[in-house]
Amino acid sequence: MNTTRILFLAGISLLLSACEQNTQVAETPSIQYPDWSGQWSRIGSLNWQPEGYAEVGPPPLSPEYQARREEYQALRNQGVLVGDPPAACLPPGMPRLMTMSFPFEMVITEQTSYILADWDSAVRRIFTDGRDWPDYMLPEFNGYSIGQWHDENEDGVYEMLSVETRAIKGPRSFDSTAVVLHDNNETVVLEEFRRIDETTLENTITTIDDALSGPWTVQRRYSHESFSEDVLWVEYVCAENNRHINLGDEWYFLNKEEGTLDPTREGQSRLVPED
Amino acid sequence: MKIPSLLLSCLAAFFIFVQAASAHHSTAIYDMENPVELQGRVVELQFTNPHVFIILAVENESGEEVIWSLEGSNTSLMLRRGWRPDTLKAGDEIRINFRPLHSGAPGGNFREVKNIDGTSFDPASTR
Repeated sequence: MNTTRILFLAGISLLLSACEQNTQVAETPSIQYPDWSGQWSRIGSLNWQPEGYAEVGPPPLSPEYQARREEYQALRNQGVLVGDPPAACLPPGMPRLMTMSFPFEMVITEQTSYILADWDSAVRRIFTDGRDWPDYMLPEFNGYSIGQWHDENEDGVYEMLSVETRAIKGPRSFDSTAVVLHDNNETVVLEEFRRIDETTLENTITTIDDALSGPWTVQRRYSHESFSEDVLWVEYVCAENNRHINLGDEWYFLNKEEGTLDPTREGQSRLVPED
Repeated sequence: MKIPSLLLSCLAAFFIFVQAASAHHSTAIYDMENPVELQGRVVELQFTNPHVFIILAVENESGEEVIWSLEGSNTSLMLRRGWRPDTLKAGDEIRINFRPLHSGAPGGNFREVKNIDGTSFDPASTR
C-alpha cells in the first residue's frame, strides 16, 4: 500500500470519527421511561362505563345495535346467554380486555410495552419503536397496537403512553350486558395511559365502531400494588372447566357429572348422548 | 388502633362483595331474583376456571339423590377470599345458597356457603 493511499484512508477515518462525534453531540438527551411496575387492579364496575349505566346513562349505540341489544336482553330474560362471547370462553378482546376482570402488569421497554393480563393470560404488545402500520395485519382479538410516549410537561420523563389499536377480531362485546361491537370488526381503539398519582393508573379509552352513534370515550382506572411476595398472580385457563356451551342459537349447561347438556331456559330439551 | 382495623376490614369486605357481584360474564342463565338454599353432601370441589364448582349430592323430596353442579367465582377471587383446592372435601355436609338455572335443571350459581347450623362458612377454619 503506497503512502498516498494510507494518508487518504487515514483522512477518511478521521472524517468519519469527527462526524460520529458531532452526531453524538447533536443527539437529544434521552427521556426516561416511567416506572409503572407492580400489579394493577380494576377500579369500578365491569360495565364498559365504569360508573355503571344506571348512573351515567345507556351506551351510545346506533339504532340498529340498540335494537339488537334489546333483542338480546329479551332472550337473556329467558335464560339464553347471547351477546357475551367470553361466556363461551372466547377472549374478551379489545377494548373489553381493559375492563380487567383480573389484575395486570405493564412491562415497559424502549421498543415495546407489554400488558400482561391474568384474564385469559392475555398479552398485548404495544409497539413503540416508531413503526408504521404494516401492509397486512391478521385480525386478532387484541388487535395490533402502535404506541407513542409523550413527555407532556417536558421534565425528561415520559408521563403518557398513547396507543392506537386496529385489526381486531370478533365477535366481541364491551361488557356482559349485551353491548356488542359491530359485525364488520372495523373497530379502532385509542388509549391514553397516565399514572395520575402514586396509586392510580388512568386509561382514557375512545372506541370508534359502527355499532356506536359516535366515538365513545370512557376513563378506566386501576389501583396499584407494589411488587412483593404477597402479590398474587393467578392463572386463568377458560377451557379448563367451562360449562357454558353454545350450539347454533341454543345455549346449554354442561353437566359433566351426568354426561349431559342441560337446558338453560324453560321448554328446552336436555341433550343426552346416544349409546 | 381498633377503629382503623375495623374500617379496613369493612372496606375489604365491601371490595370483595363488589368483586363478587360483578361476574366477568353474564349470569343470564340463572334466576337471579329467586335464590334457593339446599343442604347436601360435597361430592367434589373443583378449583378451576372459568369457575370454581361445588358438586353437591342432595336428597330430593322422593328420597332420591340428585347431583347438583353449582358454579362459584373464579380461582383468582376464591383464592383471595381464603379458599384452597382442599377447602371442601368429599363427604363434607354444607348448606349452600344459590341462584338456580331458569330451566330447573340441577345447576346454579352459588352466592354463599354455610355450615349445617346456618352460620357462614369460613374457609380459613379448614386449615
